Amino acid sequence: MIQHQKSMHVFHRKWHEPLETFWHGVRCYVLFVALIALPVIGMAQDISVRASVTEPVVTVGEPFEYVIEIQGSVNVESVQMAKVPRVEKQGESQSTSVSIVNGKVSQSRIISYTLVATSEGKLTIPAATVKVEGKLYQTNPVELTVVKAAAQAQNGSAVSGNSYSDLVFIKPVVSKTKLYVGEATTVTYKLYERADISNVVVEKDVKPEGFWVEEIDLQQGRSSVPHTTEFLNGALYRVYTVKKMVLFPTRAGILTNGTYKLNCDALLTKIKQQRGRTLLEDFDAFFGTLGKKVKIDVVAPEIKFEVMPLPEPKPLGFSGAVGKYTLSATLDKSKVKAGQPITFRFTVAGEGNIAAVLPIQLDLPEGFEKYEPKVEENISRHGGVVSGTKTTEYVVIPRVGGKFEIEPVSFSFFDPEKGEYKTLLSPRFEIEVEGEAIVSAATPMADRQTLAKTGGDIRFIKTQDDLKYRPVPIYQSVWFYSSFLLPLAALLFVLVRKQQQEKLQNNVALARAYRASPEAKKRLKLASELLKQNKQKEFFAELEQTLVKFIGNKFNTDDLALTKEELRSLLQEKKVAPATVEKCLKILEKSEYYRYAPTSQTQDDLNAVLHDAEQVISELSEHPTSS
Amino acid sequence: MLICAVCVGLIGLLPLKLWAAEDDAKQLFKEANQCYQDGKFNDALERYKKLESLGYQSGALYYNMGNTYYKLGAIGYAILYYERAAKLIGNDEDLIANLELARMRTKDRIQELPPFLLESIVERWLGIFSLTGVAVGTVVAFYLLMAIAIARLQKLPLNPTLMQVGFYVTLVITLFFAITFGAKSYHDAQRAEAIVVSPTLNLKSEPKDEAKTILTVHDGLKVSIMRQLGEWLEVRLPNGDKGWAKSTDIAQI
Repeated sequence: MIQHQKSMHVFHRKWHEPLETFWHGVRCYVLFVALIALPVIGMAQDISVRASVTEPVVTVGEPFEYVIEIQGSVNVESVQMAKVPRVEKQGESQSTSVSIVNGKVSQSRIISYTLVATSEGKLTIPAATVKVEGKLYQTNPVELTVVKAAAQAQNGSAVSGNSYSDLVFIKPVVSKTKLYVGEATTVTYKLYERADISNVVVEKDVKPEGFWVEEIDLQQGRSSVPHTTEFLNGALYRVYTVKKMVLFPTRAGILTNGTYKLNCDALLTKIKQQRGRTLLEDFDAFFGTLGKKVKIDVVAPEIKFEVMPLPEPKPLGFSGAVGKYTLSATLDKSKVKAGQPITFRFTVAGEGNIAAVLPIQLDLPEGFEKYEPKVEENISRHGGVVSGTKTTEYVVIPRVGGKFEIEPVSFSFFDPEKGEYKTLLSPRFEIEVEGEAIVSAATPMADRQTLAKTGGDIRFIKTQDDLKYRPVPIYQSVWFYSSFLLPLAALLFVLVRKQQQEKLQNNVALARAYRASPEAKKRLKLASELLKQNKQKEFFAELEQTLVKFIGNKFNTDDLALTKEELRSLLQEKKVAPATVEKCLKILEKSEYYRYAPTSQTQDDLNAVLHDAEQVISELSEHPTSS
Repeated sequence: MLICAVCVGLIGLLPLKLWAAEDDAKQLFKEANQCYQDGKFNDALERYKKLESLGYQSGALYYNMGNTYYKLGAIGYAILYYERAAKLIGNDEDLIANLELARMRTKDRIQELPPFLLESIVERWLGIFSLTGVAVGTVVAFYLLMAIAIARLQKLPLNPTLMQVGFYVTLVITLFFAITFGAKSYHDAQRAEAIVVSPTLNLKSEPKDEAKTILTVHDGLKVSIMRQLGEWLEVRLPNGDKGWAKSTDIAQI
């Protein structure tokens, strides 16, 4: 804003000083140059003739000016005005202007008549006939309204902008009032005047809030502000462009740019004082130093802008650029040695809020060292259009060799004319980096120290030739798993045996029957020992017991209580062969007998008995335990 | 009878044939070593590669191949073969030294994710034993356990308290070995690790060529293979980043 005011200040100085010199210039020109040069130039132009009044509304009794402007020639031979009723002619003046712009001569003559209306009401000044260079031209008729003096007096006393609004006013010209955020709109303030204004001062500058403002320099190196002339409501105005700016709204909503207020001096009593003035006064008036100067405030109303937000969804990487842009990308080298710098340059060019364009982001593959980009902005405000370029320059140093593809960079902007987003893509760059990298500075010191310690070389190869042909991993080998089978089998065997034993122990009958034979055999052995020792009684006792116990065990009965008869019936019940039963009983009888008889038997007899007993036991053993 | 004869013949012939081939292989290995010693690394590599393609394996072979690749400047392959050797002779001093040296020459310095405490303990625990050692331990402990069990069942005249304590101690040892063996086998079979072998590898965000490059890595980097999709493999870097790489750019250990 400071910048802005400063420029405005410069603008004032430049503007109203040359303006005055300009007026002087015109007059001097008329006085000295035009009169001399008049006969020389003055042909070969289209001639147009117009008539106008300075004020379309005049007061009864107040003089006003009726102007006939002849464009294209200064050789006016005569002016014939029709007699206008209710109007008195009070005076007449002429001025000539010749200007040469770019070698093109334009000349005009202005003849002004000072008239006074005598009664109120609508008034028409009929067309006047002007004879220029021997030809007759008709002006246009001019209409004006004459009002009562009393009504005018009220306004006349208060010197405010209102009463002079037809003399001096500002017309703002806006290119767009309904726009998107970031879209450019041009606001031009045009000052219309026909009262020889001077000392134009900006009293209140515009305050566009929520806008980014680009001021357009109107001077553009010229020493004076150019003006154009324009007919408006039947009056001729000089039009100055006093302010031009391009606004970029930065947020959505209803935004205003504030009022714009100028203050100027206007020479408005010039006409009134033309009556009965002295030569000196006339001379002064001629140079514009005489006359009542009135300070006039000229106010331009504030302008309302309807700012629309940018449509959603916004593309990825959209930074708020609105306008029309192009993206260009260059890479200075595509083949480079590792460690040598390369430069990427991305340029966004176009019309719009170029300042809102962010630097282009460049993504590089690993192995590239990227430095902070250099961003250059170049904004041109030429011709009331804000355009320019924004260049992002990256210096990149590849560190490793290889072929690399650089991902295309993208730039998105919003095109307000089409109402859509556009994304521009740069081409895909290919870079060939030659050679190995130089030891990167990023390698930690510790690593390099270890390298130094080990001498930087590997240890020698191994010479043991323990080659294996298609080895199977141990967890897939059969040997590994089958090796578990052996102890498992052993355990299983032991378990089964133990279980069998337990079963025998639990089942007494089975156990006794199972035990019967081996036990009997053991006892028979003992008996035969006794026999060898010639202990007959003991032998028979043992023999009897063996037999009885065996039978008891075998058939699970109480062996001690068995009498011979019981034994017989038991054996018969168990369906033992009768011969075996007899044999068994015979042995028992014998042993009973011999146990108590003192007579001794021969060794052979005893052996026979023992043999019989063995036979019986073996026969009984083979007999099923239970049937 | 005929079948029997054929069987006998096969049993008799097979070892002979293998032995003959093994002799050739040993000869080739010696030649390769000589080439290496003479500095003819390309010739050495050619012979080692032939051995490998014939189906021979050994820690020494892989170690030597790693050395040869190192000498030829292919750090990615050097690390690949050192890692393969490490599976067989992980505790070898020379191997550890060379692998460390080779890793130092890789370009990527990737900060490893700190592993979970439990995970690191398990890793260390598994690293202590060789698979064969654990297998033998399991078998021996199992035999001992069975012996004690049988002795107790048979009620052999031994100190019963000693037997009881001995039984439980052996049981614990057996279980420990068995679990370690199982974990190690699973670990070895499951963990698909690979080494980047192409000089520069662009990891893509998707398994296609046009996909965006997430990351660029270089040869020698160890990655884990997460899954496979056609010729593309999804790999995970030590720092946890994931990306897709072509199967030709990496080699499984």
